[in-house]
Amino acid sequence: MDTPDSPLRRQILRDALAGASALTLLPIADAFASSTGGDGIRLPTGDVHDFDIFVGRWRTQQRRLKERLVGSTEWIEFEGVQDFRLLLGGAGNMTDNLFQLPDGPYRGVTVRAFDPKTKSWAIWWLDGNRPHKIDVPVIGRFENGSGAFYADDKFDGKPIKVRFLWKDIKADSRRWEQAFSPDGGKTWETNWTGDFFRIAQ
Amino acid sequence: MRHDPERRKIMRLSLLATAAGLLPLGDALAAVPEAAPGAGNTHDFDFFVGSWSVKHRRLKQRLVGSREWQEFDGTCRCWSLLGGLANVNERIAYRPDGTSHGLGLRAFDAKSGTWADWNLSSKEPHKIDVPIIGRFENGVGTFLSDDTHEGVPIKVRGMFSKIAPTSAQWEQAFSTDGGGTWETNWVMNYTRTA
Repeated sequence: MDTPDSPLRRQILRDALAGASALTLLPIADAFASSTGGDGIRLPTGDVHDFDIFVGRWRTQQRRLKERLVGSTEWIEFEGVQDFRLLLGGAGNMTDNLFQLPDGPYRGVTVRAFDPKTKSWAIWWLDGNRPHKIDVPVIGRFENGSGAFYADDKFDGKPIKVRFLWKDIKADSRRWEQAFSPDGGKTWETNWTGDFFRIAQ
Repeated sequence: MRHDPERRKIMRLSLLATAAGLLPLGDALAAVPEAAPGAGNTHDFDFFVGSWSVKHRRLKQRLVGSREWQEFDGTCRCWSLLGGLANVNERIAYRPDGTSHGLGLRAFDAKSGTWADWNLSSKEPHKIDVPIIGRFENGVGTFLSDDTHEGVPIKVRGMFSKIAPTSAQWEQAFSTDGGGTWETNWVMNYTRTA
């Protein structure tokens, strides 16, 4: 009767999670682990709590394509640390990132905000090397546990579509990918991936 | 992420020194040279880090000669990001028409010695305005942008002043005549709580 699949159970869990986390009574992953066992987390489904399970400190393994939209297959690998916290009463969140690139540290901030009207998230990136510029946000939502977020932008003066993906989401790991499309979304070149591993709640 | 990371050599060297444990982070950032005399530095917003209670006075209508002010309370918490190159404040305002959440994000550009300050409100959660940009001089921080108000081009000015260990003031004004005259439409008085 207390199966993790029961909708009522999920709702109770969700409410308990929201309440307990807001009061910082429980780390989020614990709230689920103790109730569902193993890796039984509530996957994001398109609501304001989609990113709650990302809260904490993460080590990240990053791979970045050396050159973009030229058919490059050469990747640069580096590590980083990310701190993730909620904002705006839970309707937003932000990350503080420090990547150790081969040629030196690279810093940036992500801000995300949820629009309850459209049930979608906007995600902005503030680049520590371009500190007076915030890119147009990628906008999207989670479905079936994965999130896809899109923007129209330019690369080398040419219009592109940008896509962020969040996938393989588990209590203590998750994957992010960035891809560009030069043909309106028909074909995509993934140029940056990040695998995240939890260090702390 | 969309742009290939570019390096600033001096910053890299000082941050590398930090990574190597040679310098505490604060010292490494202090070692970043200022762009010009009178330019800001990464410590400009140290005064704002912490938690505050806020008394808001907000002009009910803007640019119509209104003298009717709304008063309400709020809270604000500011913390550092990117090792001091940026900071964010999260605020809650208990406005007469309901509770609103918002955040301000500021980032320092060592090249120009100026700060950019963006605002995001839970009332329009997918909109970040053009930033106001500026710096501190003689204890007053003045930040400007070109924007529009109901379709009319305006200049926006944000000012931090009266900065003391446990208090500070922020105000916002609009100008419809290119900065010749200003109408202040929002004043926040901060009192430190932590």
